[in-house]
Amino acid sequence: MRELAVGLIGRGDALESLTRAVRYRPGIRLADRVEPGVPLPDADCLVCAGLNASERAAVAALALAAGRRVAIPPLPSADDQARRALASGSIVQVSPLLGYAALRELAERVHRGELGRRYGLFALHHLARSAAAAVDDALADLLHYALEVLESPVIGVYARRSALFGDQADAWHAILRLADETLVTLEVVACLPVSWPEPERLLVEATGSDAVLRAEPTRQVVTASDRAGLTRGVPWRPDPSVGYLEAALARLEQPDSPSELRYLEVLSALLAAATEQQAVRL
Amino acid sequence: MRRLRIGLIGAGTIAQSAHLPAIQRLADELELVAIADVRAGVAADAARRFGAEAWYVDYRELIARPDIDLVDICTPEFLHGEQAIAAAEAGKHVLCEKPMASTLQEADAMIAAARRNGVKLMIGHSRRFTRRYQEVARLIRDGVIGEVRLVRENERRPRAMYGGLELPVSHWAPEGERPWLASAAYSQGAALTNAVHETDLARWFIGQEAVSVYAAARVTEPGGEVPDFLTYVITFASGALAAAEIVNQLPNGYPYYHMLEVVGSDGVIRAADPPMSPLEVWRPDGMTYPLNFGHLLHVDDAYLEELAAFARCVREDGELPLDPWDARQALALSIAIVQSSQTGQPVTLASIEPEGRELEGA
Ligand SMILES: NC(=O)c1ccc[n+]([C@@H]2O[C@H](COP(=O)([O-])OP(=O)(O)OC[C@H]3O[C@@H](n4cnc5c(N)ncnc54)[C@H](O)[C@@H]3O)[C@@H](O)[C@H]2O)c1
Repeated sequence: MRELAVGLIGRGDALESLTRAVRYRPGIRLADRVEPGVPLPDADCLVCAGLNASERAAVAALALAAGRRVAIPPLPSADDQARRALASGSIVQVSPLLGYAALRELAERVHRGELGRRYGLFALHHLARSAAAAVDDALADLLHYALEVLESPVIGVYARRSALFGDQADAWHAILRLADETLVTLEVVACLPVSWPEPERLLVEATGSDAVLRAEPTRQVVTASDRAGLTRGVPWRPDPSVGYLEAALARLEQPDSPSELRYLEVLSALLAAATEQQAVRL
Repeated sequence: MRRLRIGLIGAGTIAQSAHLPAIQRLADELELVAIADVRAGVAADAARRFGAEAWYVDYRELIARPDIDLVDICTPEFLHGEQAIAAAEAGKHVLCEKPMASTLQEADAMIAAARRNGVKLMIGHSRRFTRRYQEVARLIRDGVIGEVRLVRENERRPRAMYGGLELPVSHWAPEGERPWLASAAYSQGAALTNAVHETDLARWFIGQEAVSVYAAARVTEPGGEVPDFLTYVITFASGALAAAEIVNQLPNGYPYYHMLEVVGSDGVIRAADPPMSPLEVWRPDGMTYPLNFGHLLHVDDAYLEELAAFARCVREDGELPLDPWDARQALALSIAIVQSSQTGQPVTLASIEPEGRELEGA
């Protein structure tokens, strides 16, 4: 059987580790890899990593125009173009959080019904203080993951997008009410000081009558404290690109545009709630 | 030094697990004189075990005693207003459990009664007297993390909350089976039972008043009447935020758990139970943190510190360790949480103020 030719779009470390993941994945080969902003590489399918909001949208637009199959991290804006791209079925969204084994495992256990009666899902992503520009993307990633874990329609949302430390938005707080009564709480804040031992912090807790599942995938750091009293952390976790690539390939194989569009609907309600400072019903 | 003579009303769970043991330990300063509880057996038993000379079923008999200086109210919050005001009118100093009351009108009337009668009134926001929170407050005061911009405290509890403690008393169940805490006729659920701690901590750490609240709540227990799950975001005047997710009905064996995070302009403070647990036990059926619950109640001596601080303030006619206005504002936030979770929209604090209230305490 012919190997699937995978093209990669990204930059920096994210692109490097995704390249490595493709190289060691049986059954596929690396067709080409490019940075965002150049024409799409020639390949059977495309996988993107490490793109910011506008790059995600630009790749989706290019892919839609060219009728290409592409896996991108969740779109952080809910415009018509995004809607068309996702409705086409050729563009699928993959939350980078699925790269973490602990978060995939948590999702699977929820799907298997381990929680019993579901109560809530609490998901927090704290980024470095310097990463304020990434909070919209991080919210999209977290939201997409949460909806994938719970698979119940969202009936109402409330959200705040705040500038806690400067003029630029650096925090999201969102509360989602689901049809099965589950309450979802999302918090994204670019708040970790330079001295913080973890480069980023992810915490997801799913609560229910029979179990609590708590995943903290980024806690896998080696910490070292020096003479000056400064503690630094070196992440030693497995490369999340491997899990992300698997999720992307699976999603490209079996696109689910209705749920992609549902994500977009929820996202657009969250954006509206944040602007209007009111809760929004869906 | 003359010992202050104390009477306790409501000898239920918190009284027997925390207040009465603390009074016993403060024997050099406090003398337990009488206990009142509508459940005669509970009152009599507590009086015997904790060495009170008298017990009553009607709390009014207790406060009518001229030899009592100070009354400690440990009844459900819907009774706090009536009982605290009656005690103040009888000239007693009043220490009253949190939440201050069920309504802001009652809370304001309590403050007014204390002022009118020249007695001290303090609400037992025990976390203010808990070492870990005091340390956090001190770090903030010392400017270690700069201006506080976000306070999150999540709280999780197993269904059998007091499972780890052997208590001779159950919660009061006015209509037979259902304890008052689970009955919509007597309780407003997690917003007042739990979150009033978090709202108080948020005001304490952020150091200003809140503007608005959004909350979502639900009942997770089949057949349950009051919300036992809550998630909220509070916005303060400066744009600082406070948030919490509170879950009360987790599988038994789940540790009693608080996750506090304070994010400031110059740094972060974190204090969460499981990583700080002093004891972990592994067995074939899993892992437990046996000291977590008692840790919160006793290891930090919160209730002892609370009672001692109040007794000192009464004896020396000193400044209150915790102004009742703070408890009143924590209650206001909890009431706003209840309203927001019912209307599904954000609620401003201004919109829930009782009409015509004098703004003297603000
Ligand atoms: N500071 C804390 O962290 C903390 C912890 C637990 C409870 N509390 C507060 O303490 C209060 C009591 O809670 P609890 O868990 O001990 O409840 P509980 O039901 O165990 O105890 C209440 C007691 O009051 C008695 N009572 C009822 N009506 C009375 C009346 N009219 N006169 C005299 N006694 C009466 C009941 O018989 C019962 O013994 C509540 O306001 C609760 O929020 C605070």
